[in-house]
Amino acid sequence: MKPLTVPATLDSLELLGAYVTHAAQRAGLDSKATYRLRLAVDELATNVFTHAYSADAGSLSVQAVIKADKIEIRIEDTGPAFDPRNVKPPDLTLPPEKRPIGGLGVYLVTQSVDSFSYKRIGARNRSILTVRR
Amino acid sequence: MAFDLQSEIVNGIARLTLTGELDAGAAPALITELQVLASRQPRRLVFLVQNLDYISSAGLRSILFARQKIGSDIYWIAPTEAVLDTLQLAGFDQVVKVRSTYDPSEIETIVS
Repeated sequence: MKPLTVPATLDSLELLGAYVTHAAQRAGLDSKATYRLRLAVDELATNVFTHAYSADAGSLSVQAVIKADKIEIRIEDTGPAFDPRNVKPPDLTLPPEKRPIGGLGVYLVTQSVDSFSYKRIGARNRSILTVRR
Repeated sequence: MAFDLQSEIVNGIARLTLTGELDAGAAPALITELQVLASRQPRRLVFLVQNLDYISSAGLRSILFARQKIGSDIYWIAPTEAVLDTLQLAGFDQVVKVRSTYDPSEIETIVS
């Protein structure tokens, strides 16, 4: 599919969600897998929008690639290098009062897709989320 | 779909009706409302979520905020299958009491 580039603001989440949902439906994912893929993209984009850029200086691009056996969502931004895989997963056994606020979004990413890769390419972060069809 | 919320407190029970999509852009409005509700010290907090279509970690964090500010008695009534899936992925079905329907005999009976 054609890539979508949005300004790095939380207002862009709705548009990203619509793009990913449309792509997942085109790939024939069921409603649960579609929802989870949208969630994963939402969480990564939220991280970029809230941590990577100061003010509204940046943008984020997504592109869906539908292959015979899977759908990939490629996400790129030009914020500082950030490998989400280094984020420590939350301890879900802790009582709610003691749970740290951070780490939950990336954890949901890892739980919501079949595979997740990250690369720093020049000045860009590139994450690829993959779900089997 | 845009996020919308409505709230009321009746007999010490706060009821919050959430509609639409609760993402990071929408969560601050919910946090603000929870702060207002917390200041009125309700005995129970009930989220009516049958028309909540989506929740991300930002929305989940607002539940954690509610739990920490308002207390342990938080109900989550009639979540959709997808929203419940996210709650369960994050272990939040242990944080709130999930119910398929609003049962006044359970929720409105306060054990002192």
